[in-house]
Amino acid sequence: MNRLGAVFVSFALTWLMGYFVVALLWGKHPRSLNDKLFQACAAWGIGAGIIASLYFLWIAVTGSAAEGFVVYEAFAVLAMGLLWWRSCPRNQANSPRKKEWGWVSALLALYFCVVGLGVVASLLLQNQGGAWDAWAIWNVHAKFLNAPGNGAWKAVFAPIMDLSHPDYPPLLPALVAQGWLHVGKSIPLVPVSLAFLFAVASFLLIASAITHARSATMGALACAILATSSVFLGVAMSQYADMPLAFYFLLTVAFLHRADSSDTPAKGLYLLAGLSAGMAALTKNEGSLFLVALGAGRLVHLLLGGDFRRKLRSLTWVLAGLAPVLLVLLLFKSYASPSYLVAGQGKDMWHKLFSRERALLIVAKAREELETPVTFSSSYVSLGVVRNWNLLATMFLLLPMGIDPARLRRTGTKAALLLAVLGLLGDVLFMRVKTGGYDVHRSVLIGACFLAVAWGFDRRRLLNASTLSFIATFLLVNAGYFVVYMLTPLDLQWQLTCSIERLFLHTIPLAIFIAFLTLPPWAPSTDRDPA
Amino acid sequence: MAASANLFPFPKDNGTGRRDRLSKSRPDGGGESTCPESHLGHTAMSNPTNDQTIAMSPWARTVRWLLGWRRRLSALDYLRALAVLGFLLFAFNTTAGWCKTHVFQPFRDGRMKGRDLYQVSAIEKDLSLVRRSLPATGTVGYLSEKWEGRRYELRYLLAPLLLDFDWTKHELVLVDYPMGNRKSPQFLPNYRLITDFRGASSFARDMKLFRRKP
Repeated sequence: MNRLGAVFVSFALTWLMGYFVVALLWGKHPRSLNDKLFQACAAWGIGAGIIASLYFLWIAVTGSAAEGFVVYEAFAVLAMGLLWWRSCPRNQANSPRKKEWGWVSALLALYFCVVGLGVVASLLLQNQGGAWDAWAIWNVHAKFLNAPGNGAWKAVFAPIMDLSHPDYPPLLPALVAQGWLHVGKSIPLVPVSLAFLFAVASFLLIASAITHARSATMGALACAILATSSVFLGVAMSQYADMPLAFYFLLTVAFLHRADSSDTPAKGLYLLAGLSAGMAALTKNEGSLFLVALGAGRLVHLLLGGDFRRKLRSLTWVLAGLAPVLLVLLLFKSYASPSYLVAGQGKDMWHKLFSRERALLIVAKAREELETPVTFSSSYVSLGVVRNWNLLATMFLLLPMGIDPARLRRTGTKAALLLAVLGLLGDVLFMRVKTGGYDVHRSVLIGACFLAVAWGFDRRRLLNASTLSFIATFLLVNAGYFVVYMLTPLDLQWQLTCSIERLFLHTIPLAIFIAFLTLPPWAPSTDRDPA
Repeated sequence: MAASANLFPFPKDNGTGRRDRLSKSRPDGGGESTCPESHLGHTAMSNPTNDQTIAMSPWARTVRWLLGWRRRLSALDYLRALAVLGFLLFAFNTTAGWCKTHVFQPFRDGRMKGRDLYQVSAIEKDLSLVRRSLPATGTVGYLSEKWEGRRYELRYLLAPLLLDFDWTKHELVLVDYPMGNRKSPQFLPNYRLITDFRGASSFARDMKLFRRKP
């Protein structure tokens, strides 16, 4: 029981630290239950990043994990709490309260959250050690970060540990290590709880972010999309850092969307977005790629739609939030040897980069994985009859919801929509028929869906500067993954099989968020227009 | 007028069907409003609070009530409602199936062991037994014929102590296979047995620790 209590205290301190920082930078009292929900989810992510950074700084300075950290952590949380107490606006009696959740949408969201998380919890209880990388990479790093003895943690960078990728950033291992430090023993409850809490936070974050941006009905539907994704549930169970990474991607974009669409200056939200982006980089190396893509996306935002000076100021706030976390990352990287991706490059780099065979292999594998996720999640989540139905069903949902009635008059839109619907139906009907060759109807279907979006969706929403910057970020992250696959020094087929599904997961919540942003109003009484 | 009405077989707004009745039955006598949403094809009401007094089919009333809409429904609205309904059916079916396979069945079969999460397992007991004879940190040699995955798993279990598979370089060697095997360093003249971890009940049952002779 003491161990359960210690784990609870450890996570409570993490959440409180995040809550104080988020509430401080938020600037005003949350006006609705949905805002509070968003703050609670963001607090978990931000708190996890801050506590992990503090833990890493502690062992980098003192040389080893020791009980002293618990006192230092408690003081840091207390200090932040006092700061929040002194500066948080409390006189909110006159601010109007907003009600965003109706009981039907709330019940729907609750059902899908509970069921999705129930499946994740059950899978976690049956596979407490997690999947391969969980114990071979993330938890083994945590054991080193938790090592007694001066400088013993640096043994993780020894050459014989090469296979456990010592250069992988320390956010998740540091969080696990500080949990174990609280408990005094390396019990599986800590990594299992962390995996579960990040899954909870992801569910609630997507619901609250889309409810804020659009409506509660759409928030509930987003929960349903996540709850029916075998990829999401499988990776959540694996205890990998991919789930926290996907969470930070979404959190960053959700903060930026709130800040971009705010009527008042929102420097605190931009700071939080920067912090969150930095934490993505502190979670996995793919997070650094996200930083580059986000920078390019923000450049798009800067150059489109005028108001250059205000946007430039907002960019500096994002960079200010990013800077402290980047310093921690740089400190960590100063100990580690370069990533295998950099160190393993030879003279054939340019040949690999422009190799047609490699490109075709990547595209074929990506297509196969989108249609039927078989490489990873199927080992844990029994797909049964659902297979690729999640993607198809989501397309069936989003296409009619996205069509703008005013644009439906055009013959091209009608034709594209009809073709897309017929293609989707055909895909469902022929799903179990193995043709053995390239399915032409799939290309027609994908083309028709793109056309339906391009011609049928509301341009005002699609071409909005803020939304375009998110679309650019999403596309650039995936383009970056493509380049990484092209350049990988490892066996490409093996690497694709091991990782492509997880790379898709990184941007699934982001894609759902962006997709809902581009849909026209659902119910005019509750929906918001683009900024 | 609603453009979508041309594509789908629902009565047009200015026809003689239900929508006409809707317009005539408006208490303020008005037709469609001039609200900003009207240009999108929605036949929005100028005063949504008066909705309840309008005669409409039970289906339309149910859809409006379920989705919280406060405007009349166009053909595209019906299509959207159908898409949402279809998606929800799929989602309920999928999640119910997963609940059955991954929650109820494992619970019934006793495959979910919550206590293992925080209690000292047989592996942990073996670990403490092994750790008593090994240094907390540093590197020891490791000799085993086990599958590579098992060897890495042990490396994880004993971390932060490093296990070097190139065991000949080290003074302490952990041997992880039955004594009868000829490769065992007990047959090498320069190693002597330190302990064979009697009392181990899990992964350390076949393990032995050797030290190089001075």
